[in-house]
Amino acid sequence: MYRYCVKTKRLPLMKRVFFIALIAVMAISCNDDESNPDSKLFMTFDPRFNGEDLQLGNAYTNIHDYPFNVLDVKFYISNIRLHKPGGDFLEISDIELIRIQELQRSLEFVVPTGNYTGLSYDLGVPPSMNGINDPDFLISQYPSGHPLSEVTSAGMYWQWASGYRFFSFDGRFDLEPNTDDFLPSPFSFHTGTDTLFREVGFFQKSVDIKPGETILFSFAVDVDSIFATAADTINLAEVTSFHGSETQIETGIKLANNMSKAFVLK
Amino acid sequence: MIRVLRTCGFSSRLFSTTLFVSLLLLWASCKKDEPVCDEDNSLCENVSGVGTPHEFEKPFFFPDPIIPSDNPFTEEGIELGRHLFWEKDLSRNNAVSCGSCHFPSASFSDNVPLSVGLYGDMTRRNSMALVNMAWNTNFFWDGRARTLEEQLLEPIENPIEMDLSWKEAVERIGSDSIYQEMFSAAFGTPCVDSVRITYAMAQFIRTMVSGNSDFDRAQYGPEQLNINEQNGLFLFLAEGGDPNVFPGGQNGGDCFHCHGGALVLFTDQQFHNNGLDTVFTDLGRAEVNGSPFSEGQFKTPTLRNIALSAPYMHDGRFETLEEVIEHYNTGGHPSLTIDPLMKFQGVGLGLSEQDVDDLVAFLETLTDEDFINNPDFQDPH
Repeated sequence: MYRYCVKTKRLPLMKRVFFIALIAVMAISCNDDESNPDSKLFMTFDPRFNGEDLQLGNAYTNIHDYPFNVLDVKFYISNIRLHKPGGDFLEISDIELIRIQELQRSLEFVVPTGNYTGLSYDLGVPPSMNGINDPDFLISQYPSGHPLSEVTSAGMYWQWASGYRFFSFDGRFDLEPNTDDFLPSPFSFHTGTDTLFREVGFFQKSVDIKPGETILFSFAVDVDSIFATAADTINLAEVTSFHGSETQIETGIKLANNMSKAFVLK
Repeated sequence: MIRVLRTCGFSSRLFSTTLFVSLLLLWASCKKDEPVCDEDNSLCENVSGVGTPHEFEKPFFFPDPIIPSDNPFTEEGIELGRHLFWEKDLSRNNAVSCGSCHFPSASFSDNVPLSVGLYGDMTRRNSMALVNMAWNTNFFWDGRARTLEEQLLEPIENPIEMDLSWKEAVERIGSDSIYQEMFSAAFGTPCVDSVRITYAMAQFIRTMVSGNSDFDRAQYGPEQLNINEQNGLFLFLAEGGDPNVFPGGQNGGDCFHCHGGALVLFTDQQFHNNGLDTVFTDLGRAEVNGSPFSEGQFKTPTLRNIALSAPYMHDGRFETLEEVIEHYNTGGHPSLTIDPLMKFQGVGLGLSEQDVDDLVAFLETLTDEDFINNPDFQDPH
């Protein structure tokens, strides 16, 4: 005896009615479980230029008057901490990967209720997880699904060079005024190595997280700051690429400094 | 580390989901039923994992894969999957099986630009090699399937590839007494449906692990690559461009950006436009996500066993690895979506002829004879 059925078959009417009722009952019964719901913290990251949301692929004009676009932004943030009054803190994640192009732009954490004074995190993979100085380090120690696994790190690991890429920033530009859609020259800035690990800093925002409540920390990633801060400027006429080379470490330091200053709490 | 936990609450999402499902079911109830089931109108009970648990084997330098919790490996499921993978009755005219376009000597791909379907027609894209699928996170050249189980639902019904409806496929397999026994052993009952067929095949394909090439025995073992292969590896990992012109340039092949700096899976699992065309005849990834920035993007294939699966690219346009490397060496063709990592249009990477030969020599070290000759993967019929 056998029976077979294709996946596209439909249930008879009575079963359908039953399932609708079942779903309704489940929804209501789930509602009863809200006596002790989780509280959550959301973090979002959106690229911004000149105070406006930046659209990938759209042409903008940078401080040197070059047309440019941004095609891909990926970065690791680490040591994400919720700070309590009095200086104590709660670490809510050791490492996370944000991928702007793939719309992997937000993080969600279940957090304990209570009063907090703000949030802090770092930019890059901490030396203890990066494996550069560990001859026995194998990327396979991170299981698939982990932000540092080869399977789910979106090519951010460079075994022989810098460990993981910390901040990967790619796009195109022209040194001439250009109204075409196509910008001929690519730029590609990828920081890495322990030297370029940076604290992003503390973002003050007093919150009282109540049971079942969701708190949002929404960050802009200011592309303006990646090209230029008061201290460091990246001029595309002079440099279009940094991939961790020691010979370019001055460029790398400027980039790492600027990238760490690009995060702004909205 | 605190990870996302799903909570149960009468959220707006749950409400809208409930509403959507209810409306869907009501809509379905209004449509006239088609007789697609022979008995009690129910799908097979999902009883995956009732057979003998199979211990998944992988090299120590591979990460743990993501195995769907509802489709665990069993010895019986894998064996059933192997029979189904090589089953020509899954094509309308009994002419082709999955293995017809994914055979071992070609790294479970084939050696023609576009594959030949059951009636002799050409498929739209080059057959993809089935290597280390247990770690794959998206399927097809445009990534339109998110899981192997989902991917496997397509080729049997595809009118060029196998042209068999699932209804007919289920009837053919379900009426075979040998398969009835195999389904019982793998899933607890002889019931056959498209889910069980694809789940069994997915189990089989996930066992196809390649990690014992000359490269692996040198990188992760005591052996050594020869001098040309070592130089090829160096070039694989080196930046392109003349250092006197491009700061940071190393006159290398710059392969690692997309084919994986970890030297394990040899793919970043992402989609790139590698500069094949200025005008696209195949939009690639953009057909899936609708984004104009994805036009001409295709999935980065693994380089493991790449020497076996010529010709290359999504349309099989390059016959040899030398041609592929020469494409990158010339910098490719500009377009609106060309990857910023293709930095040298009109300039080139600067690889010498010897460099190209050495890169090919390195790529050939990724061939794994144990993989293609593994008796567990061959046609059992």
